[in-house]
Amino acid sequence: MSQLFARNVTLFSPVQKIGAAVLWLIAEIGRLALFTAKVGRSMGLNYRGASGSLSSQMLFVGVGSVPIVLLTALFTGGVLALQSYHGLSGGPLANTQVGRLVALSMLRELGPVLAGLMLASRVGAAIAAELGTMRVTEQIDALVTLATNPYRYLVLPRILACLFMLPMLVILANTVGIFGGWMVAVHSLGLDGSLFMSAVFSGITNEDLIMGLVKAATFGLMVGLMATYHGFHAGNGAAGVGTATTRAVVYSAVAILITDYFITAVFV
Amino acid sequence: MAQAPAILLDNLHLAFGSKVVLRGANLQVATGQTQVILGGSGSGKSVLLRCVLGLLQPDQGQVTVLGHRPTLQQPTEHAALMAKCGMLFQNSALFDSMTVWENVAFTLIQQRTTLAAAKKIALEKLGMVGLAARVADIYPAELSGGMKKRVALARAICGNPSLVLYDEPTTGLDPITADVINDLILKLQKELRCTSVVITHDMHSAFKVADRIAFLYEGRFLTEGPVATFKNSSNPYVRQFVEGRADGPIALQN
Ligand SMILES: Nc1ncnc2c1ncn2[C@@H]1O[C@H](COP(=O)(O)OP(=O)(O)OP(=O)(O)O)[C@@H](O)[C@H]1O
Ligand SMILES: [Mg+2]
Repeated sequence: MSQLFARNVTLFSPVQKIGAAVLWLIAEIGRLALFTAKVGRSMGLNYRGASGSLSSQMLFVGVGSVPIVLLTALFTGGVLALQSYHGLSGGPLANTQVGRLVALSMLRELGPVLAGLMLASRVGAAIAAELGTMRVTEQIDALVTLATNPYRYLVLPRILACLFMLPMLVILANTVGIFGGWMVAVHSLGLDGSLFMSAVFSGITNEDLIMGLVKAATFGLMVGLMATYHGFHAGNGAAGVGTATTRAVVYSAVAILITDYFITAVFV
Repeated sequence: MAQAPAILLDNLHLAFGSKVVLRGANLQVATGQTQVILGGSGSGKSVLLRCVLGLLQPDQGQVTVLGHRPTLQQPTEHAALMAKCGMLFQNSALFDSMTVWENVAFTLIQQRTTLAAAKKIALEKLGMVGLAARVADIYPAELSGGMKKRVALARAICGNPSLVLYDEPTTGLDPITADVINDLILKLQKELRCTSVVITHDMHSAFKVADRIAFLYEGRFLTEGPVATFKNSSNPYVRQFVEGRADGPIALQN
């Protein structure tokens, strides 16, 4: 009965709910910052196993994500070509503008965001599940008792792999996305292929490229942080690992979309 | 004894939310001694070991291990302390992404011993816990529970620690292997002059390896003393536990 009452209280006080959510968010950001500081402080340590682990993580994060990122980018580029063509009502401008629009949208927005979201769902989930399992089976504690800093040994290689590999993936995604746009422009919309390509190259500037890569590095860092943070602090049992994995993916995705806005706002 | 104790637990209190686990636990373990800790299931023995290792911070009270305060807030000092300790986890906690020998030789590999030398030492330690060399190259998932425990034990003693903590070393082992482990604990204590803390439910093992026995009940040590004193204790709680009776002053908790 008292439980029911308590539930009603929370139901009927949205202000309290909002307050609690804000407090939780602030506390969570604080914990994330502390976690980051611990990872940063562990950077000076050096273990033999850890460097091997960085290269294997880079393989998993980077090379392993190539197929899914390429596939996504190829179709996104195609969609962009279709959409821009229709946006221009297929008029005379299409030949000189579709290429530019595809390239700009890929470089500035869709390349980094889509590759980031793919990284979050493929790599973020895997990292959170792996570290979460190590947490609940006490393997992280065992690591500590074997005089090994888990931030250096487990967390840092995974974050660095995400940070370094996402920009690489984004460069790949941009190239393939523009190629996908070209395919659609030439073979389905009947546009001139060389005009399309010259529109691509005249349309993009260094700033577009740099902004895309700044976004990619930022998103990579955030996916790595979110995934390791939630996995590292997984609660008890299989359910704890499940929750950690879900959070890693959802919070990475939300963080990517929010920071995307702010980075764009700074560059524009 | 003039020497400072290897472990000093001073008035430890610890609760998980509303669940109080430790309520003023005091314990001293002298250097070179084997201290057995007995207590019912869920009485907080594993939690106590986690406090000793600094994996958990008590809400109140102080832990001193080999002259240091174990805390994860100072990772470098903590790692230096851990290098002198070996821990056998109740659920083994083997690294499932590494083979058996890589688990055992984990610290050696980190210290950049050549891999061949590290493997040789790992095989030696596996032999000490009664495991054949052919398990060295398989993964922990392919081992039985008792074999995992023994691999974990080999890993715990691989760095020649001066303090070894065993969380239920013989649980889940057949009586013969259990006795091999008992002998091993005794042998390590003699050869390395190490201090040992052994958590167990196995009375035979407790009486065999212990110098002193402490009995944890409701978050405190009810009795602590030499084995003989413990065996002949007239304390009704202790008697019930030693004789393994369901009726007596100890009710099932939770
Ligand atoms: N992380 C935790 N969160 C909440 N409660 C916990 C946690 N760890 C342990 N407990 C509780 O603390 C109590 C003591 O646990 P502990 O694992 O120390 O028992 P134990 O004496 O080792 O028992 P056993 O002999 O069965 O291993 C238990 O009631 C358990 O529910
Ligand atoms: Mg236990």
